[in-house]
Amino acid sequence: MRTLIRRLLPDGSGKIRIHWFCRGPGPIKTKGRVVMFGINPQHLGGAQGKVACQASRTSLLPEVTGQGINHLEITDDPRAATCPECCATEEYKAAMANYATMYRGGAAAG
Amino acid sequence: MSGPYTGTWDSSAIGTLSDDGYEIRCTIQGQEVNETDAYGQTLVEAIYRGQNWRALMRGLEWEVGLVDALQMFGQSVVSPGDLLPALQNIGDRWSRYCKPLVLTRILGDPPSVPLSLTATNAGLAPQMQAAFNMTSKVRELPLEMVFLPYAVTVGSSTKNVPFTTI
Repeated sequence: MRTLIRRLLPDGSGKIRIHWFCRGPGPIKTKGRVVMFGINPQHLGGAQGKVACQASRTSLLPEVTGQGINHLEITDDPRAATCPECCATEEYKAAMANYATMYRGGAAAG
Repeated sequence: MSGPYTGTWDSSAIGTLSDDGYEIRCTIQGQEVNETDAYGQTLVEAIYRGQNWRALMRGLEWEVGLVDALQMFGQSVVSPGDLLPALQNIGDRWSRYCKPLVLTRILGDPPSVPLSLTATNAGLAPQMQAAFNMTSKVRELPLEMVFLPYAVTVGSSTKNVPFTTI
């Protein structure tokens, strides 16, 4: 059984490095599926974009190496991303600037 | 449509869970119109009253993400991963202490769907009861989290969502 390798942040905090999936034009297209659920169909997956800090990466599949499985933990919400390189990109800064000016009241609070 | 997921809460690892993994539940809220003169107690219509999503998990590792979630309202001494609950912040907004829950699939071939689930406003469920045994057995820590809605911008539109997926 191969070891699953989870990457930590370099600041010594013990927190997990979570990359940001920047939706939009990009080399990555995740597999999608539609599942009938509740009041309407749920569209799972099927997103297009790129890993913010690895713009040329063409797949989100884990990489199997001799050391183990390099697991890429990723989110499409910039507010949940922790990877320092992803957070340094212009796309990330623009996305966070948008949320910074968003009214946070009631259900919109986040 | 199967495969395990890794999880983080507030970017701290949640660790290994029981065989059920992350159980995602949805309750569709509705007001039933089922008491009419013409149709008696037949359900003839309903009014949509929202939906509630939550996640249940049973941790088998005493990991930081799990222990910190249990103490999301504060510790007596800020020490991630240590059990030091404090009675404070009573009366404060629940969402203020919610943090992102990020689940990422492990399997690549065949790939699990969705690849990732992010609930940016996730926290303990109100009235949640957690119990763990301090004995010579695997210590299991069950948690129930709610996904409070939040605003997300995709392209040019903004919507309120309980979570998003890739």
